[in-house]
Amino acid sequence: MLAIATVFESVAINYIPNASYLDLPLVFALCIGWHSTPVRGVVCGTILGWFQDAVFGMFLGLNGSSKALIGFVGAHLNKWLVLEHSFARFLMIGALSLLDSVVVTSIAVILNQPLFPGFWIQALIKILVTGVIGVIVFQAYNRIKFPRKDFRRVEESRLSL
Amino acid sequence: MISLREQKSAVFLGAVLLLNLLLLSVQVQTSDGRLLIRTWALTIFAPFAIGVHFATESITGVLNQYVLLYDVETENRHLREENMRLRAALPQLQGIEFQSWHKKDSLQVREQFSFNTFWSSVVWKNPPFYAHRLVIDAGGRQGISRDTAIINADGIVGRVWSTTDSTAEVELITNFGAAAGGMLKDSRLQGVVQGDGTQLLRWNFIPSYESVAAGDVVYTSGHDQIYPKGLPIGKVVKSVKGAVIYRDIWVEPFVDYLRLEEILVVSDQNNRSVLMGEKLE
Repeated sequence: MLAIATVFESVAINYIPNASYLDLPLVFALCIGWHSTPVRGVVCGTILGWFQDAVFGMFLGLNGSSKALIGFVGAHLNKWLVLEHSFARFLMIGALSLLDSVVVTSIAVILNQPLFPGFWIQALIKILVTGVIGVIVFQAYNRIKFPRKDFRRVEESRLSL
Repeated sequence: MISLREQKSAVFLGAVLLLNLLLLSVQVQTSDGRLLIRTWALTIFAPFAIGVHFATESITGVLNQYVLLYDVETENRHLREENMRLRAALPQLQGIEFQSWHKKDSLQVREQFSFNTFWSSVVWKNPPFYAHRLVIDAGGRQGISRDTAIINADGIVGRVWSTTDSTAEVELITNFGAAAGGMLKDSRLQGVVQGDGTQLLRWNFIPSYESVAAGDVVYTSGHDQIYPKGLPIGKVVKSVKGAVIYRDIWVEPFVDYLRLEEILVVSDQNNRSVLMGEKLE
């Protein structure tokens, strides 16, 4: 997942200028945190964030902090929420994308770094794009990690015994 | 009730966020070129250093003023004599200043010799083997900025490297890479005085055919646009012909940097007359 996120971040932007609106490391950090423990979510989120910082030439730790938080929140949200509907997942991923933007902006402000103009509009577009693609990635991740069992075959094999 | 496991994971998250913040602080630089972590460290620890300095000064002050009164009378007499000599010389200097400032080239004279100073204490020193820097208890609030000159009664000390609101980090002239324009008073021979990390300075770019002897005093030339002209830097201790076109000259600074406790910050350079007390146009 790290390789996919890194390759996408570094290659796709050269060919698709608007690919920067899709925050794949965020989606992956959420997926990993959702299906595992908070500590694993924090560690994987941190590593994904560091790679995102390195690829984009940003200060290491900027996205590392936000993705660590996303992994942690994702792990805890799994205990409180049951999100099987796509729209509910879209809302959750959008909200976490907004949290990610807020955390990155806050850290940048603390470090006296300037905000580029139109930041909030870009954050809004990022919420929409990441939410939509995130739902698809989430479904795919669930399908890979928890393959559906063919209960008819299971029943037939049981009956044949 | 939060379970122990959730508490541990929250503590782990806090530790990772702190690690990321530290990682950021060693990358980001402030506007005056200092690492953010250095600025944060100075902001956090400077009040303690100032507090310790204030406490030790208070204790030694009480001891000197009320308990250990030996040599007070002798010191008092010396100070009265020095004060009297200086007050006697003051009208003479004011007269010279008045006459020189009303001449044709007076603007150049004013720019080179007029500056104001204020007193500050040294609260923190780096280990001399690491970097020749120290921290004083005056900063941005007192109008100090990068490249402000720091001097004392013996000569030049260094320049301000970076500031916070209440402190300033001073790079000593002996620090590796620090430099000042230096010249001889009589021959007006000019070169660059540089620190090399030791207690001696090197006076560079003096041609081998020029005459520089041990004992000659080097003063600031003012060409570096940092130190006022005419301030003593040090005394030549060794001068030999170099391997190429320049001489190898070592200068021993007049200021004892290891025992530095009080300094003068140069302020309002080119803007105030020290002697006449009037603002120049």
